[in-house]
Amino acid sequence: MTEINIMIIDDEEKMVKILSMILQEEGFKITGYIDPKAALAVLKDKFYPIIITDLKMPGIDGIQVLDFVKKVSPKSEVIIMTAHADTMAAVSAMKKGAYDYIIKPFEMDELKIMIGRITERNRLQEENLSFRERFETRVMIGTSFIM
Amino acid sequence: MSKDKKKKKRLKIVIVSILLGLVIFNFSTWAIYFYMRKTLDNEIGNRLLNIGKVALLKIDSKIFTDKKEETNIEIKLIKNYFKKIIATGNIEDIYIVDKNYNVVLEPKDEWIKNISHSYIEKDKNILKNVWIGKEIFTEIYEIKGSYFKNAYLPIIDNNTISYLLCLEASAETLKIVENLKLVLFSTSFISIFFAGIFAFYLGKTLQDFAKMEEELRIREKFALMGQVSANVAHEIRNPLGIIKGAGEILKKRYKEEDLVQYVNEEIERINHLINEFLTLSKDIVLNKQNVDINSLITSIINHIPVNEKIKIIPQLKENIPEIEADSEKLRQVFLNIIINAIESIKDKGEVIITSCVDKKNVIVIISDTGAGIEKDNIKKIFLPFFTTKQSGIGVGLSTAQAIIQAHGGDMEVESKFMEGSRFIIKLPWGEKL
Repeated sequence: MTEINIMIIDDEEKMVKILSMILQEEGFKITGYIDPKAALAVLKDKFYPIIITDLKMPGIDGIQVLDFVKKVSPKSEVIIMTAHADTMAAVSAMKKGAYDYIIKPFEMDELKIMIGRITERNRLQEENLSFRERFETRVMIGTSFIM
Repeated sequence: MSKDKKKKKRLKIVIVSILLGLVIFNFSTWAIYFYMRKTLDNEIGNRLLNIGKVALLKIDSKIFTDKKEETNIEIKLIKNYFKKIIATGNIEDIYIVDKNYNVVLEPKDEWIKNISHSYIEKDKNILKNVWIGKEIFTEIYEIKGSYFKNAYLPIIDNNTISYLLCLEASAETLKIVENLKLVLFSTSFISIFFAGIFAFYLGKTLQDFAKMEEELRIREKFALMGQVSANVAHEIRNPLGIIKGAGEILKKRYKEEDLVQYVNEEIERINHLINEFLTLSKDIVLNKQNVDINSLITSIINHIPVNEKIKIIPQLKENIPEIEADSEKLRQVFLNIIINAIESIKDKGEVIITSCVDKKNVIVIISDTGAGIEKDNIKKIFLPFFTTKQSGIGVGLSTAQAIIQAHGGDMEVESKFMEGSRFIIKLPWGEKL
């Protein structure tokens, strides 16, 4: 089974480290950034199915990251982390297409469940796709047989 | 702030000057009135006395006792003289009286004896002075809307006084002054009346102004607090997130579940505190719909676990109009007060929840037979971070009050220590908030 790539963007280095440690133990491949600009540069070329980003960061905030991701890589899911009191920003992020938001301090299980849901959905979609492909091939083969 | 204070000071100065000006105006006009009256009084009096003095020169008192031929002629001459004086229009009447105030000489042709002039009767008290040799004039007096003034002069003969010369003058000029008095009286009355109204409303406006200023100050403070606490919350929650994550790793690696549990509990405690702080400083956004207070109260009571020792008694009036309100926020308010009430009851007791309605408000009264609030604390209970409880940070009631005020309502408390408390919540009905 291929490793799932997750990108973490948070200007708090320790947060990036701890999240990486925990999620690595869960078997994910983690790339962490404390500089959102650098992260965006990478996102242009490489696909990450899951991106976890902090909302309030200096320079580029979580919403801008979300906008960028939705533009360059629409299939990626973005989870917004926020320590901010105002959940309105997080909710508006969801309206813009974020998968979900999570308020710091959070239970790691909460995050794991979210990631689990995304990966499960992606897996099902892939399975579905491959089934369909296989089915379609078989139908094609079938028809050719008849022919 | 200082600009407002300056404005207020200026306004105060304006009020004081207006009032002072009014007082001075009233005072001076009345002073002018009294001065004019006094001057007029003296002026008429002196004129009378002067006329009298001149007349006295012509009168020899012997004429009343000597019954000679020439005396009669003299009397006639005096009478003519009196008639002339009256004809000049300066006086109304001039005559002579004896000790019993009988008229002994008057300008009429016939002698009318033993008729005393009614105003002499009136003036008898001050006439004592004339009998000892003084010349006097009376105050102006009024008879049937006309003003008169009398003067009395003693007729001295060989150092004895047996007769008085009496003069009576009309003082119609006083009518003008008296009319002035009427005008003055009404203007004073009206000006004082309006000044009163003016002062009353201005005072009220100033009071409103002060109240508004205070409210604005509080709101500004809370807005600032909201901003600060939002930032502080952000700064605290970030490290809390890190600590919590690190704790999770520690738990996994070192199996110190108990210690990590402590860490997590304390993180939760801090987080809870921040959340409370935030709810307090946040602007209250109401999600309004039509709310039936009675069903709201009933549903709250139904959700409170039954306790045999503490009775919760609803006394709900029927036909209470629906109000436009945020039912969830109101639920929070009522629940908060009811729980406080229950907690204040040590052993046995009851919590009575009453609903009723008056012209303006739907009123909910929550009273308990609990510990009550100490007198010193009653004023403080709605202040944020004031609490007498072991747990809790004291934002419940201040939030509750803020919610009720956001509805345009009002919340009051009455309490007697060791006897119980009554929370009275008024919510306006029938008006769009």
